[in-house]
Amino acid sequence: MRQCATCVLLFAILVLSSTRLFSQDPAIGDWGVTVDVLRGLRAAEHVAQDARTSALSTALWGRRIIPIGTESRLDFAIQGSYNWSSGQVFANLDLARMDGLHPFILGESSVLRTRVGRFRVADPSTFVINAAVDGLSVRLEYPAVRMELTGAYTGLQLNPVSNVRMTQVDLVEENDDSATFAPPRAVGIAAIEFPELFARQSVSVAVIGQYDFRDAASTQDTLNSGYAVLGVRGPLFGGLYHDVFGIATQGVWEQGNQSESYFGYLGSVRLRLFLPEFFASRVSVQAVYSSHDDVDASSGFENRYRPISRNRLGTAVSVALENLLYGELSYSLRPFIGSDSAQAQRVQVQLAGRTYFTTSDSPAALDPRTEGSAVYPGFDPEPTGRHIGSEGVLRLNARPFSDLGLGATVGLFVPSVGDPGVFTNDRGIQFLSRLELSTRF
Amino acid sequence: MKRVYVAAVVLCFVTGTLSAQAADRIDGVLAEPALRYGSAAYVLLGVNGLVDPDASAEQAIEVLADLGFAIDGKSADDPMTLGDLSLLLMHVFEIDGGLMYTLLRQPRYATRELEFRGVIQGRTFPDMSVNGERGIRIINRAVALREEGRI
Repeated sequence: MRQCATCVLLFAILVLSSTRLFSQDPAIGDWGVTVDVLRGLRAAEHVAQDARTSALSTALWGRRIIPIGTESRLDFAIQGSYNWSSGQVFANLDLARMDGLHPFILGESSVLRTRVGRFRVADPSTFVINAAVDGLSVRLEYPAVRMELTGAYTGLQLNPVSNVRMTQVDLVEENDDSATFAPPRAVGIAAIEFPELFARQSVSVAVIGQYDFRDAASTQDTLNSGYAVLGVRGPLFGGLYHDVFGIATQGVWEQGNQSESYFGYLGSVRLRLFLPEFFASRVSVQAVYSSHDDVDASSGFENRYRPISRNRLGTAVSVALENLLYGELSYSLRPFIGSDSAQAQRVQVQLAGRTYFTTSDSPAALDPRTEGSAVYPGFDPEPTGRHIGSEGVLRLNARPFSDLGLGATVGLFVPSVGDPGVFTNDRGIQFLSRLELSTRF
Repeated sequence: MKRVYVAAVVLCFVTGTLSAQAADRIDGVLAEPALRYGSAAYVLLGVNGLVDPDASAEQAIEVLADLGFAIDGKSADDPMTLGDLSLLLMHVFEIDGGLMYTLLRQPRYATRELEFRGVIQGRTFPDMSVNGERGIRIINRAVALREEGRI
């Protein structure tokens, strides 16, 4: 811990003190503070007591750009935060990265970018990993192709902020206050993108591997996996854009002397329509399918798509992107964009409707934190249907000042019960309301 | 491209007869490797009709001082930072800022306000230097956004 603090201190001194490095141009930089406050209420017909949540997060950030020679530069960024929420208080180093930008080093039209430290990493689809990590990334860009290699470690992140949850042990540790650090995994990503390869369509290909550093024991399961991602995105016509991703994954799960290899896949299609002339409207339609094939009778291991970071979907209900067919239609507009008031012009209203199905007869992967228990109330142990339910969400965003943002969200989840659904009649409607305030100075 | 900025900014000088000398002045500002205080004052006041197109940089600074917007300790040839330019632009264009700008009136909050409103685009740090071309481009964008009623 002391070594970590020393590294951070040295990094901060370097960032804040350096003025120039082999260059005539002076260094430039900025700093700031952000404060985010959240108040929420969750209520459900099948839960006796409503859950009220409060959260406060305040962060101090700094950034410094130091020119090197005439073309290259180093870009330092650091952010530390203090987080308080119902039941949890912790300080975190959110970001501590050094970016290097080196144009023309590998050819006239080349740009070499390097990144080292603590930063956020995502695969082209964000369906495999979208998480904060510690590591190194090298990116080489030419007009016709962009290549990127990333190596990262997840085990230095604090447990409360990590969303890397792949195994049962990972999920148990998520709610374990005695676990300081996140699950220790190494992640490697090799990605290549061909921008506007044909008809203004960009093609992305990525190969991702992750390795669990823990040893499998009778009470501890481990999982090592690899992923192949293929994606196409770009404009179709007018203001209509699309992105399509296909992901295949293969891995090995171990517990004690049991070992299972598995295969999973995910497909995603999204269409987005931008209508700036009609109240700055945006329409989005998305469908995502993540596989779940069977359950091994002896080990109980589920043969399904498993991402590295468990990014949850939903608002009133929280659903993991595993064993899931998911559809969303959302529409947002700025109803007062024609107003004389700049504050009114920035008001945005968003409506979203979502529906969820399991892709097998196994239970859906709901979030134990929002469910209040790892045993989900009202789940039919032998469901006759696969429909989890549907939700509607209304969100209002306002920006009365450039440094003050306000948000209000209301969501209603209606579970699917009886023959078509996965729930019994014991499961009721869920409601969520949330107020957010964020400011920066 | 530079000619486009010259034409757009010069058209905003709201005097009856515009001299070729004024257009040459804008051309000179565009060529400045670091935007000078006097040049920024001349263009900012000129597009708002607050200074004569043939006025000198020193005269423009005097008008700024009369308006209470002059930057203490800066002479006409001193280079401007993006923060300095932002603060002057906020004052001269009478743009309302955010909470921190209203409280402190500092260059960093002026810079953030103009970035938020789309007046400043690209890399934005209050202490970075600005060349003449970028300075004119920023002022030009402010004029265009004001005409659209967005600032």
